[in-house]
Amino acid sequence: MEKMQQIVGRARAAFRSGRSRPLEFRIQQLKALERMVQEKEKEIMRALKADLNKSGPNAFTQEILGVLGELALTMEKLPSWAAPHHVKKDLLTMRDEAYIGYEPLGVVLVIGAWNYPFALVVLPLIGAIAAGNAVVVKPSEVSENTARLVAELLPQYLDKDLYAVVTGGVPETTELLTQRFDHILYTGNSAVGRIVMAAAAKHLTPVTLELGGKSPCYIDRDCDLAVACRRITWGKYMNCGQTCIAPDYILCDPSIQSKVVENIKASLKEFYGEDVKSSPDYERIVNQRHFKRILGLMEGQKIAFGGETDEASRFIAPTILTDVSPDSKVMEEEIFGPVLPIVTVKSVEEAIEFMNLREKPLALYVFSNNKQLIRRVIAETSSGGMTANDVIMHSVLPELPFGGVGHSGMGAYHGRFSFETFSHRRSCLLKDFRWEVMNRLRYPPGSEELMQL
Amino acid sequence: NPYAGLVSHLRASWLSGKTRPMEYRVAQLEALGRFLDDKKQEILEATELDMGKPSFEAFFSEILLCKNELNVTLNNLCSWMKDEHVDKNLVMQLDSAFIRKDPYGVVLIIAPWNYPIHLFLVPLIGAIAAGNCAIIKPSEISKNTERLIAETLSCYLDSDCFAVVTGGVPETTRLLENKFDYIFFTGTPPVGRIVMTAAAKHLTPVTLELGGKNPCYVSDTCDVTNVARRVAWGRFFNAGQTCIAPDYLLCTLEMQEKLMPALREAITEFFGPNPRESPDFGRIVSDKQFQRLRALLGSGRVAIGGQTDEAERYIAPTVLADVLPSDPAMQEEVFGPILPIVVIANMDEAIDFINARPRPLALYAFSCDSKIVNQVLERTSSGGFCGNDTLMHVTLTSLPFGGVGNSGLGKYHGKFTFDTFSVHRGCLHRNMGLETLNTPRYPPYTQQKLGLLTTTFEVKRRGTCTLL
Repeated sequence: MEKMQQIVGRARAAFRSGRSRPLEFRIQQLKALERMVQEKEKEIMRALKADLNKSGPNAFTQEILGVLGELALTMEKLPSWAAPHHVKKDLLTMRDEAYIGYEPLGVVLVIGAWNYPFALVVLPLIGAIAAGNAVVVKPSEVSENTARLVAELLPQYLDKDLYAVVTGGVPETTELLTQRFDHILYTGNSAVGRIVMAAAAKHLTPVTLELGGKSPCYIDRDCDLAVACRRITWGKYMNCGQTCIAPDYILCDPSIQSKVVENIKASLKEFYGEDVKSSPDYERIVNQRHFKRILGLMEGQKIAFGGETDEASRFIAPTILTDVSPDSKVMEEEIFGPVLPIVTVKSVEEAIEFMNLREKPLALYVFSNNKQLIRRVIAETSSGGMTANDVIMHSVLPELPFGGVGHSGMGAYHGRFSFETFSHRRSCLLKDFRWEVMNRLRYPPGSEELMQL
Repeated sequence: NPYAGLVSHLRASWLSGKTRPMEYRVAQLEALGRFLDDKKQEILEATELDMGKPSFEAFFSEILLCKNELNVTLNNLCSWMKDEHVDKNLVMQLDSAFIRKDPYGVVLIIAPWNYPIHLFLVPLIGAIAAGNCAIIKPSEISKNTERLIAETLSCYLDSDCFAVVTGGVPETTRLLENKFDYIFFTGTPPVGRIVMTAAAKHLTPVTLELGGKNPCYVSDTCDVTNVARRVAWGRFFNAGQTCIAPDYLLCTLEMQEKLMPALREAITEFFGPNPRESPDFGRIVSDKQFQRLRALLGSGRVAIGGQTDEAERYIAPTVLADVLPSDPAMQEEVFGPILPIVVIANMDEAIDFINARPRPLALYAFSCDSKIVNQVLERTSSGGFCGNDTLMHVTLTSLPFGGVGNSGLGKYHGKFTFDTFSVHRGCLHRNMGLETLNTPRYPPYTQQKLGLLTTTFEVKRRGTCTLL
């Protein structure tokens, strides 16, 4: 394993050569990345299956489709995103050229997570390349098959010196973080987020932290429960609950709790059949540590449905917990598994207060036919993003910035926001030597008359 | 934790929601405007006592520019606060997709001493406009202005939501132990690191407006008289204590020779034959800064100025010629009325010189040939750039102001301040109906469903044919 300093040094030298700056080069690299995804689709899906038991269609829709869409969008829009943005001028600058130029930052670091291991390194990589940077990619070691594949494939398709992959765990990442980068995008948990930001502070490196939290889901009595529950079931149990924006827990009135359970049960049967374990579309928990952790969260809880587990295959059945106490362990940490607690609240006010007492989540969900209620929930809460009457979907639209707030993160990306995250917006004012008479107004000696002006 | 009570008081006010309505924000902003009007004289006097700030300069930077920002904000607040609707994809045509601007909560603004009103007030304008509560920590070095702010700001702003904390390094360190939802810091890079490290403990996002050595390249083809005036103005404004002042000049030996008499003339034009007697030339803020600057006078040779008076903390507008890269004046940000000139052979050498050093907050290039100006611009990196003038790029509120690398992270001024202090929240409000449109995304998966999903979600490049 080559020393981190050399890898980063090579990337920096490659950046300094200037070859990543021309738009043609960036688009050519993005095209190569697109070819990689298209040509190596089978290998990518094989790795995702090995890491998370993702089925082919799941892997495609969860990771590959989004990446291809982002690539197409970026290649399409890059010329307009990268063009200088001329700004409104004032009286003193009327005759000048004033614009914001988009420039690369330099060498950026992308640290991926294990739950969508391919997409969470490639999506930021797309933005970083588009903005003209050199990139060091550090995929998560927990999803080791995908990490290995990314390390193999990237140098086959992209400029080897500009775009490097570093593999390894905590010690390697710690060493990597001692190097100087011009931006770091980290996806993972808040604890490590703090470590990344503290390391970045030493070099005054700006960071984008995509963290997590408990994304609440409020179900109003006035809503189409069958539809709501089907959508929630889809978002909660996809990737076996291992999604940063999955609805973590439900808040609803006690009078609809059992109907909610019934509807979710029905949707689960619809999606995975009678025997979930044999459905090709249901994933597994990524490793033993997380398997045991999630098991611990179910202890002492009222299991309304599910609860079956199999340690050998790291299988946890889609599970619903009812009448959960706000003080229980399952309500303290992000679940990141196929366990859905329901906490009852008597009103939307109580739900809002409940949500606001806790750390700001990455996503927030509310289901209601009542538009005023939805507007109210949005206005009185804070979250990275939100969807009303569905889950997950706000993250699918690249025109919406995707990121957290408070403990769920800082900064945002996707689409144009990725490009801007990895760019430096440089203010440029170009004057000429004429009109010096205008400048005389500002030169000393000053006087009372000039001040009245 | 001596500030825990204050921070939780502000947090309680924040949670009550009172800073959110537009009317409230407008009222607080208008009160800030009244503060600037009512206390104009006191501000001019305090800054004069602190660093001999000439009243013309103080009026320009501390009052006029602040009122500009205030008016731009008040004029546009309504539209800035509006949800920004975005383009949708095929399946979301009946939904509502928008970016909402939410306040962060309780923010901390730490200001430096050189433009002591401007550098807390302009960030504060954005913080209030975005609906936050704020704690303001002015610099203890500009102690007269600090006292003015501490004693009078509370008469204008809602003291439940806005507070001033005074003190030095120990107080600021204790303050930084608290959790804030955003920290805005203006100051030096070493302290910037300390602030960001403290912020990391709470995962608090930051804007750091730092500094560095702002290079000023003067090509051989230029209007020497105008260059001299514009550079002298930018260098000697506030006795050089400006984060975006041209820190040092890069030019050929020939140009150095041509510039010297022009600079001498500009200085005389501005400050008279004895700048010490000019009401338009400032003083150094403290004894410590004065000693530091006096030590730099040994670099190169004093071609203009060089006189000092310790009692007054006066350093004459000074130009140092033939300065070497190894000289003391080239080892740190000058931040005083001393302009070192480093001789280079040509533009390429100047660009290499600039690129071998940390990226500055501002970069200046002077030439009659716009191709040269553009070359310098394109081959370097800096927070901001101004061709053929100094300082002016930060007076245009439609241009974002901030650094890159060692000179800082984040941007503000105008709408960028509002954006800095708001969370941009992606919101999607979907229709409960049309559930059939969602069917392709649900398991069990079939090839047909996959095909449908691909069609409806994928962004197609123009020129390729679509299935629709």
